[in-house]
Amino acid sequence: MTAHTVLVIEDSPTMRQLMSLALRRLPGLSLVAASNGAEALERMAEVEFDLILLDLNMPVMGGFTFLEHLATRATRPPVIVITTEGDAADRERAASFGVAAYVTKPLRANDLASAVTKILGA
Amino acid sequence: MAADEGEPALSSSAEAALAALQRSVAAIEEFVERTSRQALVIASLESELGRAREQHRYLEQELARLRVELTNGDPMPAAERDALVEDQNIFAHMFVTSDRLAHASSASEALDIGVEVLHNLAGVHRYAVWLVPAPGAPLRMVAPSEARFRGAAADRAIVLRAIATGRPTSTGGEPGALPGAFPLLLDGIAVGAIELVELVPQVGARLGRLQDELLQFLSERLALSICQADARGRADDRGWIGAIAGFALIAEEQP
Repeated sequence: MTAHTVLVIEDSPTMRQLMSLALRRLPGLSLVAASNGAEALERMAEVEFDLILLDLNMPVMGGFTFLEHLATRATRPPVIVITTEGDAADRERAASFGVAAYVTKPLRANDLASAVTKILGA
Repeated sequence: MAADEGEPALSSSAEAALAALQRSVAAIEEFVERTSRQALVIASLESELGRAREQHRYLEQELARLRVELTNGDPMPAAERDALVEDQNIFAHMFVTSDRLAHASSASEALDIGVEVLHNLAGVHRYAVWLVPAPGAPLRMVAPSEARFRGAAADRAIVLRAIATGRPTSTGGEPGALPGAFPLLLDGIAVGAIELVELVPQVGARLGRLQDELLQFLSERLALSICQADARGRADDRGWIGAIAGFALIAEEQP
């Protein structure tokens, strides 16, 4: 896998650490963390990302509001939603924003690594 | 037409024949040159063909070797591979839980980490963390702070039984069934309990392996981590460094 920069938007430091551990075996991956949507938009002004891992329930700016902001951009990286919310309504809403994948918590480390590899291209 | 002196004049037909001959000579020269170029190309292609044949022979040998390996090898059965992946996943969750708790710098941070683990890592949707402030004192619920995650109809008997026995308890005594409770142990004594009311739908109605392992881990470590983090939070940096320096002196004096 060539070098890729991934933005992890997740308010739980424990989840961020787990995601980092899950993706550690993928070579050339560099992770940048943001603890909510607003912080993520600031990071996106500084760095061009190849992929976004997005939690839905976060303080300050949640995942869906972030997706609304993202939709207004001319170019946007693919998004993998990682959430505890597994209900159909949330999935459909996320799909309407064209998210690339929807992964539910509890996270299976292997599933996340596979989803990222599939999108970024091994 | 005046002819040059000493040179016989050519008839027009002879001139045409000469021109044709010159063209033929030029064509033959060009043909020879082209042929020699082609000869070089052919030599190069033949050399390339030789290399390609060698590469093909090598790949054929590799293919045959891999076929033999595949036939004689003992590929891991799918169930075994899945179990290995699941084990790795559980270890990753346990490592993160352990690492986060070890770095908590206050009792409330340790508790918050425990809650994060329950909610995000284990997929527990409704729960309560209970502590016993003193032997015989009434239980105090210390988490969650958000009402939507609390158990609406807490079965206090299950919680009290987990604390009294120091073992996980559940409805009807069935392992993994909910509602259930895991005791919070400190040096083998139950000082509280995690009450489990409901899991997120994708996990199901019972605790799976991941949930069971994580809850066992929290049962044994959360209360201790709260105490350690509390002590750490109360000591300033100098206090910590002083404690390490003191220990180093004592350890050095040991025979």
